[in-house]
Amino acid sequence: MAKQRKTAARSHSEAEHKIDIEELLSRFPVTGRDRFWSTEPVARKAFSAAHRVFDKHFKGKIKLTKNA
Amino acid sequence: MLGSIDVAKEGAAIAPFAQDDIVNSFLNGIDRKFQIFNAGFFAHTLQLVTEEILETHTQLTRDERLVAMRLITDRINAAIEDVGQEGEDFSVSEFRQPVIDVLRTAPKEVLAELAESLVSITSLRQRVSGDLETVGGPVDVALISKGEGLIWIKRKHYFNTELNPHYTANYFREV
Repeated sequence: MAKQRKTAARSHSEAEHKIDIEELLSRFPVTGRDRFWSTEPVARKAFSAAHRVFDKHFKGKIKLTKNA
Repeated sequence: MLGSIDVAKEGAAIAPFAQDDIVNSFLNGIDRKFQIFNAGFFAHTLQLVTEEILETHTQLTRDERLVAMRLITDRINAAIEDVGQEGEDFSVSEFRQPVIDVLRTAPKEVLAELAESLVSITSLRQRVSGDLETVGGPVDVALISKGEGLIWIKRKHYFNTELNPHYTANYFREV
């Protein structure tokens, strides 16, 4: 599982992740107690989860043919 | 810091401040971390699937794919923003508004009870989650109304009032 996660994380570049995470977090303004914890780890966990789901259900599995 | 509280629109409001995360989870029916997680998860899954389709099933060059991805990502982000707004509307109508509706006409003691319970639930959550226990101990509860001014419902003293009856006597003595 750990190996799978590492592979998943590599399939999307760190720079691309950084831009996407910044965009995501800009939509959630920090208020109240949120100031005490960073929202970035939550975004990173969400992205890792997306990679795991993508690898399991979509990667290499979308076959578009005329007969499909 | 507490921002401005607008009660004109709905006739009542709940305005937690400082450690407001658990109170907001209770009122909104969803934790803020979950909102961020869901938005990030769905947006990124859609991005990855789009990337896969463009890569596997189109004849676009790498640069063309990057441009297409940027355009599609913008659409995904706009859609996820709308999903967030839909979720917010659902949260208000299903969770927050019913409480506000009751508070508008609730007796004052119910308001005090709710305020105290919301502080207590924050304290309990921190105690059992290994989180920093920044809320806890005896809770002071005060009601401020136009007619009666400030009324203490619960107030802790650094001394036992039964052992110091003169304190209460002096407090209520007419000048």
